[in-house]
Amino acid sequence: MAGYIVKRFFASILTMFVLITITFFLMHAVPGGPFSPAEERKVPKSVMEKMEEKFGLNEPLGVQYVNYLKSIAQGDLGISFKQSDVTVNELISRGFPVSAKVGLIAIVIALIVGMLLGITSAIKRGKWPDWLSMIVATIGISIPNFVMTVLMLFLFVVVMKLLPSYGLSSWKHYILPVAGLAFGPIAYIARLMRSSMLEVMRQDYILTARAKGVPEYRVIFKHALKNAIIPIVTYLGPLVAALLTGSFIVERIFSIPGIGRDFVSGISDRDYSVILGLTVFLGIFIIISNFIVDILYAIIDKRVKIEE
Amino acid sequence: MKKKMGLVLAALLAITSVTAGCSSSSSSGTTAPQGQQQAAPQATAEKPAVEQKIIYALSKEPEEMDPTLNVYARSSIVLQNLFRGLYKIDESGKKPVPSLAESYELDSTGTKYTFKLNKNAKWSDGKPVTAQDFEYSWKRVLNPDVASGAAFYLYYLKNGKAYNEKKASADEVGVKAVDESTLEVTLESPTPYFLELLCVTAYYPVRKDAVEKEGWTKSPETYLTTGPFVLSELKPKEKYVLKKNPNYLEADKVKLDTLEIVFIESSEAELAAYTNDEIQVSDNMTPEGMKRFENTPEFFSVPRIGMQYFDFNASKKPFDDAKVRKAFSMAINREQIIKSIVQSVEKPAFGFVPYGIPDGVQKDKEYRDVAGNMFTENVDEAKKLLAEAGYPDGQGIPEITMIVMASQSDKDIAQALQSMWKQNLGVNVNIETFESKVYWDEIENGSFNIASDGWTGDYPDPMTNLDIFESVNASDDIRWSNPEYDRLLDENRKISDQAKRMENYAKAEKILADEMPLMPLRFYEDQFLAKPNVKGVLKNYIGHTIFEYAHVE
Repeated sequence: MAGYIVKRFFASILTMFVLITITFFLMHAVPGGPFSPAEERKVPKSVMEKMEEKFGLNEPLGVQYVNYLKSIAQGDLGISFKQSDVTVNELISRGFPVSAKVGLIAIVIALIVGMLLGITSAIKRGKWPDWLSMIVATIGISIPNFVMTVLMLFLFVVVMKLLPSYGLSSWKHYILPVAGLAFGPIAYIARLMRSSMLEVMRQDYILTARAKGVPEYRVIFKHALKNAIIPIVTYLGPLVAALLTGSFIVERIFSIPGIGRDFVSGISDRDYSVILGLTVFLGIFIIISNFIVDILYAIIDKRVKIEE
Repeated sequence: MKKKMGLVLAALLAITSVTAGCSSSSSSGTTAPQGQQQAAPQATAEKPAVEQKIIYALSKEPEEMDPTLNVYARSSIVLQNLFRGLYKIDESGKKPVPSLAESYELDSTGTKYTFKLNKNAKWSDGKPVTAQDFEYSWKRVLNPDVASGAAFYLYYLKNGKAYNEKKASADEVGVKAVDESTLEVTLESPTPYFLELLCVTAYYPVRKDAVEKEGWTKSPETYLTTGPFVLSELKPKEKYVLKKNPNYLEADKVKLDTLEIVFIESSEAELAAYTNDEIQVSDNMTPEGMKRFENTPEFFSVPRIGMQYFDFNASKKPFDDAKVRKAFSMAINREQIIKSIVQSVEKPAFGFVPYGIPDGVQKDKEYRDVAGNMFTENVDEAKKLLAEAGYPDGQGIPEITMIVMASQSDKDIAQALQSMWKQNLGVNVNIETFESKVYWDEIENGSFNIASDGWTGDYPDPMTNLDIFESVNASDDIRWSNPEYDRLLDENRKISDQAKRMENYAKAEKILADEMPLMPLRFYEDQFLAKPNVKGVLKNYIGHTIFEYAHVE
């Protein structure tokens, strides 16, 4: 186990190095810079050049790259070009908890609701609860979440005036963003759960359990669920990484001060340090969550052996 | 390779920004213009029981909270509520009146101003505002080591540009505190609109001991202001809470206690928040919001001193010929584009100086109204001009490329123009789109024939909208120059006789109309919504929303 962890650790560092290098050069290859005008030209060229000089953008690319690697080795992700006086570390430490909180609630809800829908579907196969939950799941998978969130905004805020539209200042504010984030995953988990549950229910050991006279609810929740849940765990890794680091669309529509929006606005602003900093952060996050999932596997499914 | 990468990126961005446009309908609005109200009407009666608090939304957090570094429009809105300089724009939103200054004297050369500061002018911590504060701030803007993007605003000061470019020392800059309350300002040349310039945030004071604290703009404790409000709470990306500044010079006139500025990025969400009574003032308007509120007393549309126009590349065929340029400009229908494509109540542009700028002689009238239209639309005349240029019915005209930014509204406008030119002149025009960050490089490269462009001025004098077409400034966009045009503008920088100046501006505009190096499309207006019980919200001529005179009934 310890050997495995050490091996994974070094592989991760290599992955991060490659990720940083590719992002760095790709980002600089894109035309336009942080101080290029966007809407209207206003700032004269000479003044612009002075600003670029201040942020070291006049240095050769190789030098900038080495400087960046040096500062990142010390845990410093640099200062935002667009938002003066804000460091990328600050940006993440402020925005990540907000994104993570909304994302975590969404994950928990997606897991509970999705699994319940899937199980119901599987055990009532071919009957109306199956149809109903599968209709919900199909809608959830086929409607993109930006359509869903705008639709919900219109329905619950503009028409019904039931819920607030922006920010996170009370529990009511969480309902729409969480629903927007959870809807897709619920659908996906429900379908995953249904098919794996159906497969497990056909196994011999379920037949054995039933033959021994084990009550049906115990068959389902104790014997079948344990094995049926494995595909969900696989899905959980990327899901946690995606939801905890914030969604651009949901954060934009409900004005949530998370980091999801910064990913995209960083790119359109050519805010180099923000793009790189968030990539590094997200990279580390995905590596860690995948790693945890691998470990979880071994715990849940004794058949899986982690290679030494 | 570089260009391709940009395109891929732009496409990706376009996909992600679908969210912004996905609920906006494309049907055409046919409502009558609301006219130009300057501000919500003043209240007659007041009920003291109402909480004097307004929640106002901006699309994002301001980029820059230090006025000496600021060049951003959004940041200016926040700063214009927090700071005051020597002069401010009055309640009508049109002309400068003394603020922290009491009076000024101008010498006979027209280049030396001596400002007397108001003795009661204080910082938000109660200390007096001194002439030294102004000297420090202005030199900070120009200091090459500070590398402020706003430096060019102060190039009017004697040696301002030279100091910024390290060709002169700080002591040679034309600003000097004679004593605590006397500020001597020397300009490069007489600038009849200097008082208006003083209302730009770059001319606002910051205090040395505050600025020297690390990250002074990031906490309400260290953030010192001179205007109607102070910063009382700062929640990044969420909201800024502004409270009335009791030390403001005119604090007795400020009725609002709290101004909460929240950040709502998508305009659909902002409209939802407004209809849901979560915010009281909204100015990030969707075409839907416009349609819905256009005919209500909650809707305001105010001219901004800016215009959307199209550059003709005068260095390349066929637009090296003024006749072709004129033909293209006369063969379109501006009214139709504004009404059905832009879906706004703005005015079509038949001149080069927008509304919002008062005439120099008849000060209560708009320059635009006094000068009148400079040209008209006329398809028959356009056809004739094109034939005279050697392209009857568009035959034999070289391939024409029009470049626009990759926003939905710009693309829609481009397509409308394309079909108008096809229909009226028989000319085919190719449209190419570019992401905003690379768009201006594309113009500079000069590989276009027609390019979408726009400009908002800084001060209400025609100069701010006309100097961008002078030879020195036009070499990398329209690539057009006219010695007489340059001379007229140059003369207007040196004289202060307003009648003569207005005459020169009209002449200069006439040259533009005859030569048509650019095609004006529409004069910008800023739209906003304010709840019926919110009065006195002001939009000035640059589009800044000012709450100094606002209150809740």
